[in-house]
Amino acid sequence: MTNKKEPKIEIKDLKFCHNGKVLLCVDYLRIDSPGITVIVGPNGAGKSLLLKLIQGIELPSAGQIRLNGLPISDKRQSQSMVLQTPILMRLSVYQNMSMCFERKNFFISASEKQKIIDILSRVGLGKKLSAPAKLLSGGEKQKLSLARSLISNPSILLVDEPTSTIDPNTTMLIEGLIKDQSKKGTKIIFVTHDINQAFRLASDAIMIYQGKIVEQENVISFFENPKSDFTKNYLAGKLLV
Amino acid sequence: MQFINETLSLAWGLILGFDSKVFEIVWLSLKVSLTSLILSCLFAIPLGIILGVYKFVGRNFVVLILNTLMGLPPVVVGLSVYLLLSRSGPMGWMNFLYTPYAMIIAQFILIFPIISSLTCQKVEELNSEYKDLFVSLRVKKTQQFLIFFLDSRFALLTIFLAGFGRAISEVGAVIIVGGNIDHVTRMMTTAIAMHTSQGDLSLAMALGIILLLIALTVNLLVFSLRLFVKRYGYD
Ligand SMILES: Nc1ncnc2c1ncn2[C@@H]1O[C@H](COP(=O)(O)OP(=O)(O)OP(=O)(O)O)[C@@H](O)[C@H]1O
Ligand SMILES: [Mg+2]
Repeated sequence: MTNKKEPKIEIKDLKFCHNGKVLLCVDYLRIDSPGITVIVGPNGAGKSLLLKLIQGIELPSAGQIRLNGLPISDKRQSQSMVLQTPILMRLSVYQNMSMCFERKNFFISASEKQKIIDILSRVGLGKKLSAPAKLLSGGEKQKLSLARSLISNPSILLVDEPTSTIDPNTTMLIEGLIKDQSKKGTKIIFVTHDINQAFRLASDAIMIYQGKIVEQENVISFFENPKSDFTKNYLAGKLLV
Repeated sequence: MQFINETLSLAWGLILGFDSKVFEIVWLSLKVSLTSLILSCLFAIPLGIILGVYKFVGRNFVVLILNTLMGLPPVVVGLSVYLLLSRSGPMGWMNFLYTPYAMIIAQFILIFPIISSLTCQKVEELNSEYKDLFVSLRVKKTQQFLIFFLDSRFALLTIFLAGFGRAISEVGAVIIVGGNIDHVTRMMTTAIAMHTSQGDLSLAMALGIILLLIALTVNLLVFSLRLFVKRYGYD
């Protein structure tokens, strides 16, 4: 169905404006590496906005986005996004998984149920299946939100700072999950503020500054020999918003 | 004061003695109100969800109409249903006038707009809360419907109870289409109106007390529901 030669993600002349201000402007962006692409940049640079546009949550003012050669609205698209602020339903942890899960039949089969329980156990929520999701801690909410996106085994997964409120141990665990998913063939775009984390995960990296992509490089050159001054300063902790 | 005390004790006597006349009326009231309520919910809740989710042409008009109908005077509903069901009316052939069915239809019309517009408001709220989530996980429309229904279950229960409160305490419509016929269409409210005007105050008072107790129970349920929902983070 999808052509192997098509880039995973291709963006042309993308613009997102609000009240006459251009918040994001991408002339051309092509992501075709198989691994994990990390996006970095200061607060308000437009990282979340870019992910939301790729997912179709926000609609661009101009331009087009194609995933695996298809427009994002295509029904065959299997992609999911982990939002920066998790949105949980007034249901139990288990139901938050099962209600969003694309099942074969109306009722969830035993194997689907087991799959949900397995993934919740892997993120450490195995003992909280029937707890109300709204009463979870901030970190637990992020874990649930990540688990909910992983379960559908998407071909493209966009993750917006999934470990921003997560303890160091669990961060390692989540990075492990992300890497495993990437090995299963999922293209992952990962937004983070943690430079070390970016270095640990990335195969290539993108720097966004003031709504523009200022650098896109493989991970080694990005961190060791950045071309753009913005990236140099950002990595050195000197870039101001 | 003496007079009120006497009436009250007579009324309590009727209630505690499980007076068959009193409880026949109470039972009919509950049956009619609950039937109309359940029928309303069956149609009004799906309509409310659709109105809350879809922004189709004419949607705002429907919402406006429903909101207007929410404050509909019961006597007007009674009159309209009377005209529909009367022998020469379009539904006269059904012979529903002065039967419990007529009262169920009238109450259905009274409750329907309440249930559907309250459901619509709730679902609109939920939809704006969850729309990013649904796009982020590509949740199917059918599943979204189920989510709206489940997620708002406690709110729906409160709406259900509000509808019940309106149905059970309403008098204007059911007296017109039911006719307050003994053993057939005599409801709590219509019986109170009649017995009071006839001076049979103890019976009226007994029914009044029961009506109050029902209202109290309903409000107690709503109140404990709120507490429960807060406690478990479902609000
Ligand atoms: N839907 C929207 N409508 C209007 N403005 C928006 C919208 N979404 C984002 N913005 C604005 O665009 C800018 C970029 O926001 P974005 O959330 O992408 O930042 P970010 O790079 O993810 O920052 P952070 O690191 O703090 O998460 C912000 O100034 C924000 O106010
Ligand atoms: Mg962000």
